[in-house]
Amino acid sequence: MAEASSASATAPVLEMTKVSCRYGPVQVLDNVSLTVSTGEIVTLIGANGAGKSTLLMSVFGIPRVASGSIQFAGTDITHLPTHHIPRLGLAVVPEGRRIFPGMTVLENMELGTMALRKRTSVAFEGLFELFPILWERRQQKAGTLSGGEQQMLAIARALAGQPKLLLLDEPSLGLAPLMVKKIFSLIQSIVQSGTTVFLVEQNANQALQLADRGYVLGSGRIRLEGKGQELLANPEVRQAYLGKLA
Amino acid sequence: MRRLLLQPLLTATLILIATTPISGLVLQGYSFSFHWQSPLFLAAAAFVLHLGLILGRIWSRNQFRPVAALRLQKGAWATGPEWRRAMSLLLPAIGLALPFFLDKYGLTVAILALIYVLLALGLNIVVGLAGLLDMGFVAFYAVGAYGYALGHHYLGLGFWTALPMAALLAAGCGLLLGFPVLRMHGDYLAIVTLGFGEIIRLILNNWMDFTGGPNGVQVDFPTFMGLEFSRRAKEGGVPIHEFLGIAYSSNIRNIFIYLVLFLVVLLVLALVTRLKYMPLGRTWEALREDEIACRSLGINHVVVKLSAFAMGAMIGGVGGVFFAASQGFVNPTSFTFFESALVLAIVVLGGLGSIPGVVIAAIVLTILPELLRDFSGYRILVFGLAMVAMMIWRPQGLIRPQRRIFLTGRH
Ligand SMILES: Nc1ncnc2c1ncn2[C@@H]1O[C@H](COP(=O)(O)OP(=O)(O)OP(=O)(O)O)[C@@H](O)[C@H]1O
Ligand SMILES: [Mg+2]
Repeated sequence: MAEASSASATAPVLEMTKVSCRYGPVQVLDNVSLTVSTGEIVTLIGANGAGKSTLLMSVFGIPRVASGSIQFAGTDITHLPTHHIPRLGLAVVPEGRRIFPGMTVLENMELGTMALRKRTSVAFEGLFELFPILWERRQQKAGTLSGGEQQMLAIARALAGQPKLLLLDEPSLGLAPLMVKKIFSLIQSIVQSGTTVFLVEQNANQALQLADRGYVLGSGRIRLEGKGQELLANPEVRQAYLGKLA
Repeated sequence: MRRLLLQPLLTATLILIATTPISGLVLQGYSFSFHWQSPLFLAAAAFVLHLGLILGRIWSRNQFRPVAALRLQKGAWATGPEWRRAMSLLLPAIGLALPFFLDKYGLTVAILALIYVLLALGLNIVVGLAGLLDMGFVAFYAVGAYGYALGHHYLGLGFWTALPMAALLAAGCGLLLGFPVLRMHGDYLAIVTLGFGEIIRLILNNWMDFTGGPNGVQVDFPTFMGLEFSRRAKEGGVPIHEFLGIAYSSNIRNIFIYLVLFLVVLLVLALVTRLKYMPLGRTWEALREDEIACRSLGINHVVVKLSAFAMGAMIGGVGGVFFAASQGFVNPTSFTFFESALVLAIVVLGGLGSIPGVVIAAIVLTILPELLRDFSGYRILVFGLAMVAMMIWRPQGLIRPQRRIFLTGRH
């Protein structure tokens, strides 16, 4: 209520409240709360093994949260079966892309819409404009694409279902600086076309420059949060994630 | 709409013209008599079949259309070279004509080959497309065969009733196996399915009161529209050779079984080829490649996996019904692990997922052992060597699975 009345905040599209996750005896997320609002780019940074990927995938129920709740666009999705979640307008590009290597580029993209029963025409037109290289490679087996092209394919496949919110897990992983730049500018155009983005990144510098807001995750807890530029200027962040002394 | 009815009508007329002299005119002593039922029936069957095929094509085309989205030219799908289209007409024709030129032994081998084609097509869905390593496929074959045999024994079911019911029963068993193994992959799945195959065989072997145990069950031979295939019909029945006015031959029954089986194989082939390009077939393949990605794209992996098990099992069950029908007798020794291994070998040798490859491999692997009869003792050895050689020189299988490709550019 308080939020809705304040002028600056738009409606939260994703809201995680006190989420805890564990793999067997190991607690990986500990009372994590965060929100992503419509039209934002929000980034989550943190060291290796901090639990970033776990947090992202827990939205999709892989793994299920041990406690806490996850709301998407006003719907409680905490206990929803994984395959129901994309139908609400949520898409994820998982860590390591997870494209279907034996299938062609086009077939990969088709699979992005298949379960959602969406017309492909509109979605594909725009996607090939955004990723012209994918149109050139449409008949090629996805496994034979370059790393950057595979990343674009993974993003295109997720966008094919026309989601409201796109979750991205380390899209810059293993890519050359030029390609990283390209991917980040693509993310920007995705947001401009009306999709909200939640971005998990190791590449803290670029991610924070791009993002409206950011969260810093350390050993399964939210350590810091704030505007992208604020976090960039924060001495702790600079020391820990940007390799610079304060 | 007019084309929709015109083509099947044309087919029916052609069939009518072509078959009337053969099946309509009956020689009785020195005079002819004219039977109009059988050519008319054949024509009607052809009409229904053709209409079904056209409707099926329209239906599957409406399922999923990225083509429109990509502004591709109409008819731009790769249609394959001329010879291929010619083959797709020629091969069924040869297949239909074949039984009339075979002797009793040849017919038996041909029927067996077709049964293995069915089994291999069924297992190909499970292993080749969905990537679920099933080592106990023989279980569904057994369920189909015993479904018919016991259905006849206890309920008096005929072949035509038993065929769909045994197929459904096998599909049910596929689901039964599917549920507990939903979370399993690779070697674990292989072991559990292997166990399932053995369990079914042991039940059939040891449940003396119900299945007759090792003594097996007698199966009634199929009939065709009330006509029987024996020399002398049972009370009130009419043997088919009398109806057709031809001399009795014990081959007639096998020719009939062959023809029905051949049509079923064609039907299953059409089905699995379609499926491969339809959403269900695609998701089978996608699930094989990455389950987590599938789930995060909204694909219900439980339904997809179970449907692969059920569909494969159903086709295996149909194979079983034909096996029982052609043998006239079933017992558990026909359903050992060796059968599962053989069918799996066929699928792997054919090229996992490749439909033509699997069909060719099934035919070769049934006929090869027959040709090798002279070497009797060394048969399995030669067989094994051939397989090792294949795996060295053509590890992808006989025919590499192909992907349908778009031909046109953007315009
Ligand atoms: N399936 C799993 N089973 C058991 N432990 C797991 C599993 N997945 C992740 N973990 C553990 O959970 C912790 C967090 O993993 P997670 O992948 O979320 O980290 P991350 O922040 O994404 O790291 P990175 O930046 O390296 O990708 C790690 O210690 C990891 O070993
Ligand atoms: Mg990670």
